[in-house]
Amino acid sequence: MRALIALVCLAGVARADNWPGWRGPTGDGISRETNLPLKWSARENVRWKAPLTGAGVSAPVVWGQRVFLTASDGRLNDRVSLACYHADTGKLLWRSRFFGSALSDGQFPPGGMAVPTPTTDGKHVWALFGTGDLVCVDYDGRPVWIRSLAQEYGPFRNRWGMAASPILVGDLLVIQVDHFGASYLLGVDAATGKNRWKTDRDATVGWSSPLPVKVGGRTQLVVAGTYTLRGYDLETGKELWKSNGMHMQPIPTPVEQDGRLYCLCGQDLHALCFSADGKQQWRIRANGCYIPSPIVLGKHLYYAEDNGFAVCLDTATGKRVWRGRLAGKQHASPVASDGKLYFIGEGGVVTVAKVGGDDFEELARNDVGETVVASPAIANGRLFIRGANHLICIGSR
Amino acid sequence: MHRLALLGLFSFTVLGFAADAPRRTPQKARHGSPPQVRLADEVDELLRDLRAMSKEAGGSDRARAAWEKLVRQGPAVLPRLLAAMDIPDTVAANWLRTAFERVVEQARDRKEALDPVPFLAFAGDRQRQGRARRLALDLAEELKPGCRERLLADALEDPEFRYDAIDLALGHLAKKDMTAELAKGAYRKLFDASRDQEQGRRIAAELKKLGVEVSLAEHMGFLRKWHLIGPFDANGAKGFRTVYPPEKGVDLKATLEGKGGKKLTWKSITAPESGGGRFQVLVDLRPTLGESDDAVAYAFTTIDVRQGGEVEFRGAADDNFTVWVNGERVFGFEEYRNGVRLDRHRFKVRLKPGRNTILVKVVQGASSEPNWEFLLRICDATGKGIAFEQ
Repeated sequence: MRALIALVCLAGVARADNWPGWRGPTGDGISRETNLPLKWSARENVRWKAPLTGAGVSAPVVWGQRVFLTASDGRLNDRVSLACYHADTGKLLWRSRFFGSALSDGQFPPGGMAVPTPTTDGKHVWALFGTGDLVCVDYDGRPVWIRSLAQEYGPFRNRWGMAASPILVGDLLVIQVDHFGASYLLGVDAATGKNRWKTDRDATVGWSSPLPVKVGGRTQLVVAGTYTLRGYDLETGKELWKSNGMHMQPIPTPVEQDGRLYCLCGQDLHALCFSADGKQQWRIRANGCYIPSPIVLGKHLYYAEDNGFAVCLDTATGKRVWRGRLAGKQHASPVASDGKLYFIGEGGVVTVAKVGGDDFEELARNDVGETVVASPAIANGRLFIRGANHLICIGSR
Repeated sequence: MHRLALLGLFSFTVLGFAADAPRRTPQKARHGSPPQVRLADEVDELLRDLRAMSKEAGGSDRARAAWEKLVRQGPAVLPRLLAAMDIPDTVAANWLRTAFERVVEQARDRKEALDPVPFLAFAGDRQRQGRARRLALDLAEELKPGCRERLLADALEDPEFRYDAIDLALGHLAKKDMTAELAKGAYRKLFDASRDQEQGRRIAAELKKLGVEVSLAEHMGFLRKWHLIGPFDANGAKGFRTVYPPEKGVDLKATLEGKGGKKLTWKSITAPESGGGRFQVLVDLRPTLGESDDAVAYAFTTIDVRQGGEVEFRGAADDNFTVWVNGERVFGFEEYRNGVRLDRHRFKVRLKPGRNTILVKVVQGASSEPNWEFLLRICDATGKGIAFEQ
């Protein structure tokens, strides 16, 4: 109980520094942190490394002194877990394990059934697994509520496994289930686990996550899916608009800035810009923009091509500003803070590039020494990177 | 404290795994005393609360209260939590599992010794749910290292531990010095028991080194011999729903009109048995029928089985996959860009004694990934191929 009170107090002051879910505090891969590490090596600036077992490419989420991470294990990856580490030391504080309800049609081997990133509000953690299990636990790892969407609505039927992360918007947890079965968008009361609404979707498999966007005082959910981008009312789940142009099975999560939506993985691999009510503003060929989600900052849209290039587009026109070489294939979505962009290659080499400017400017390259597929987190002056074998905390603070 | 815990554990051991039938009258323990009977009643009630979950997390508040009380019971409650976990409902099983693990963690933190016997007994009971048995075995092994290996030594036909048992036996065989004849017998036994493709390949490779050739395709029940015809026009993604001539009746001598007016005839193939590819048998349509988008192909075969009865068909296709057996449609799946996965689709089929016909339809989408292929095998419920002649 004492711990809970302490955490509640902490929650009140630390929000801006946390990384509470997929793509960070504002859902766009950007943190307001400053003085982030630029260079590191095995001997310099690595604060701790915690060994990991099992599979998983979900991103770490950080709140205060706690780092949460999901994983799956077992020969079939049919056992799933949510672990909590101390952000200062990397010490494993607890791990809650669950049986998986149902395996997906296929799975991405490094990710197993732990691809969606969990989310937290400083008191509870919500995790969704590719097995169709959705859980809420408190900060001591005790279950608050447990659901099996696989039992309620059928197993997740996905050729590479479920990837869409649960998104917490106020007291509502939003789940996008686009798969070979009947697809749906779900609004769940985060406290009780009960549905507030469930909206059927005309979509097949996808791996993108919903993006909450405020338009005219109301929040809408922007959702990329089969051939379309759609807006939904947060309160009711009702579809507000839809616009064509997306890939059949999109992966990146859209981003928003100043009432404009930016999407990658458009049909025939295009980058697209829409107004907040779904009217297309521009569409431009963007080869290789298949997996990582983009970053929009000021007048530039940044993204990583899967094959190892960083690209900067002009947000007004879509015109390419620059294209620069990164270190190896890119699965992870880049993150940005403190005037820096962090692109992590599959081989574990992080390219730090400068935000802004008319040319690609590489500031540093750092090797974490192991394969990285998961997207990183930025919190409390540190970078948290999930490697294939370790959860790694970078930063001297 | 330690003795008390063990005593408590003993009483629950003799009570047995009563919690899997929560509504029956509490049994008296062999050394039953009124307090123990009362405790059993209370635990039954708490377990009922954890198992009474409804959809949309209904019953969570009650479950959480019961969870806390059960955790406070300490290690004595572990066997009953385990027994209650022996249910198909994953939500309830997860409430029980988290309570089980919390009690174990607390005992671990207190360095409290637990008796491995009830957990090992549960793990060895093949009538129980596999996932709960595996959890029990993990704990038993932690408490008494080596007991896992002893259980697996006799688990080649165990529905939950078959893979583990074979894996362990393979490790032992690799280190064992034995005659070639004995080794052949030992590997053959493992091959017969295997149900996993990669494990089967591993054993087949060992047998090959000993001069014994085995067919994993046959062991898994893959269908390799097919008559193929296509491409038929499926422009506008109409292929899945459109009825083409082979669906009205197969005449292997017929010439049919295909996409672009092309004259099509049935062509016979035998799909190779691949030792290193992703699948032991994959029927690639492109070498025989050519590359084609927005197109439909059919594959036809007959099998002879000695006895009829229910069997399991396991298959997949890229893209759409439809199957008819003896003229009756038994499966259909319409999705594009979905990829072939081993055993992705499973469906029960009743075969008749003697000859049975099998027709497969595979639709290739527009601008799809360059794959046009399928696989199909026929097996029993454990995944072992049935005997048939093709």
